[in-house]
Amino acid sequence: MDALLSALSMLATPDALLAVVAGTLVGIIIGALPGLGSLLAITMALPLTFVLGQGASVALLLGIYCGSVYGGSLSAILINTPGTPQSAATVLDGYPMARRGEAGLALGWATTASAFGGILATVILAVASPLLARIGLRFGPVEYFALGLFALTCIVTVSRDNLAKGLIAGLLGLFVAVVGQDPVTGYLRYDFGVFDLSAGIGLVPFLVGLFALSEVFWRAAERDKEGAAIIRSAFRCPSLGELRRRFSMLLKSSLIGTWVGTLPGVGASSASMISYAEAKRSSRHRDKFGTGEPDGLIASEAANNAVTSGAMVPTLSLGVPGDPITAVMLGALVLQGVTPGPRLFLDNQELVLFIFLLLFVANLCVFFGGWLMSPLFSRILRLPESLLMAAVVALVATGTYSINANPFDLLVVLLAGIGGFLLRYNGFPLAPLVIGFVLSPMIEQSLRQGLIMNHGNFIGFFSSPIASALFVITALFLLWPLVGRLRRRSSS
Amino acid sequence: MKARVLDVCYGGVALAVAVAVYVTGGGNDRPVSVASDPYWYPKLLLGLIGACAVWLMVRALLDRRAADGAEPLRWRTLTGTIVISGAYLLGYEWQGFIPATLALMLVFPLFQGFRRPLVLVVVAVLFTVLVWYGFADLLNRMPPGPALPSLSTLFS
Repeated sequence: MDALLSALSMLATPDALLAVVAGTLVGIIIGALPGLGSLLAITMALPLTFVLGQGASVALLLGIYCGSVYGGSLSAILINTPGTPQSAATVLDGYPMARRGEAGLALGWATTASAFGGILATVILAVASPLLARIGLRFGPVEYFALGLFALTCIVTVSRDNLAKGLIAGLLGLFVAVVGQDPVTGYLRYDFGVFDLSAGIGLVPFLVGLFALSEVFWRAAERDKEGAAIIRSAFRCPSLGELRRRFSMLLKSSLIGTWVGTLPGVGASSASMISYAEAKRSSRHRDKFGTGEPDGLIASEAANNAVTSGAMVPTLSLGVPGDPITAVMLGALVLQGVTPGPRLFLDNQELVLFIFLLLFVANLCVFFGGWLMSPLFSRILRLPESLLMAAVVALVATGTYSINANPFDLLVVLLAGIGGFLLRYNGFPLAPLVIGFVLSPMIEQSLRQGLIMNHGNFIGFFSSPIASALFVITALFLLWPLVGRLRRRSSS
Repeated sequence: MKARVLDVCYGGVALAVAVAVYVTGGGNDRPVSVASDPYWYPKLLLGLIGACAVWLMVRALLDRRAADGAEPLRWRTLTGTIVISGAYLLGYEWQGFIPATLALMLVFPLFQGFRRPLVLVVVAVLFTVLVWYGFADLLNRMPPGPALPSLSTLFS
């Protein structure tokens, strides 16, 4: 009870409330702008967390996360372009609804489903996370290494299109994080005599360059730039009767998103597709999917916003990011002096409860923010892309420079941007790279600590039942798709 | 160029870079335990990168499906965008935020084909001023170079 009261008092401060509301609104705006995405929104806000207090920083990032995931539905519905990858499935039924004059209802359903999914997932998070935390107390270096290895398997999931390239990108991310001081001996590695590299490659400049700047280059280089008609609309909330009729779809899609969010590496994009596929299978109106059926829109939006809370389960309880976005958030929490992991729930209960309350408030803000901002977006989305991209470059530079006032960080941004563009152009996915970059320090440190504890003996890693179970799950996760493929080949 | 040929090239480049960094990146002259060796983990990663690069090349050579290569891009626009962004980022500190950002907000859209000079100037000035005050006054993070008068001075 004391922890809850303390969390409420942390929430009730003007800084935290303003940060979560502003973050949600800013997140909605950035999410609605096609191509920018949740990851860009959060990485652009990262430098601001250095000047805000811990509570306001966490509030800002969570608000941006929840807002940006929802924001993608606005451009998906209004201009047939998902603002974020998480809203790719929203296009399938959202835009057809808008084309037949129901844009307001489509926006209303997207807003309601997003808020519902996020709030339900937050409640589940509040119940499930402490249970995971008690299990997490039994984690040592060996268990953390096994967990990190399991988390790396998400590289396989996000690299489905080309596994070899995904693995190369993931390994590259793991390697780039090695530059600088060795975590065990303090020895300088791969600095090639460059003084600025002795501190390693900064998380913020690297991520901002890799995603934000490379996106600017990508949009400059794209050849096909056909615009789609923009449809102005008045926001319309679904009626209580409509909510009752579609409540089971709302609930099921939210649960799917919550569950998928707890699985490392699957992410909101996959969650919305999985939910859409399940909705199409089970809906009474399955024949109308793709022509403007609200069930399709509900399935996508409820799931992708539920992931925002679901992905916080492994992040807070185990210190393992659920997707690339929570990988960045994990980095941001560490920068704020918060150590996610099993001890967080015991040592910092009020912070954990504060995060739950923030997620709840952020999802409420999603609802009201969507209602208020829908008319605005019809206007903003008409801004020329070249102006928007120039603004992104300026914000990236200003935000990154504000961290250390070090021009080397801007060089990192530029090189990461060019590198990110080249990787993307040549078919190498960027998600594994950032996953590897964020996880590498934990994996290396726990591996070498585990080896020290076991006197250099790798066999000792299997003496832990938790680690052994994780190794087995990792192997199954990696091998099962291969087994399935072999069985299909032999049967055909 | 077909995707197969490109993949073989990518694999070759990845392999070459991994080998080069492995050889030149440093290491221990005397044998130390794995746990105490700072180069063991990165060299393991480089070895795995090399192995994946070989896998990529072999898979590309064995894959008989003809596929399109990389999609066509507007290379001139891309190069210009990189040059403009690079000049902005690398010259950010010595130029100062205000002149650099004003120049970026004018040159970048013009290069990309935006042809409404009045709108451009108004947006450039408004954006620069808003971002300046956002960072300098609200967040207390002073951007480099010439400064605008603070809001507290203006409204005192």
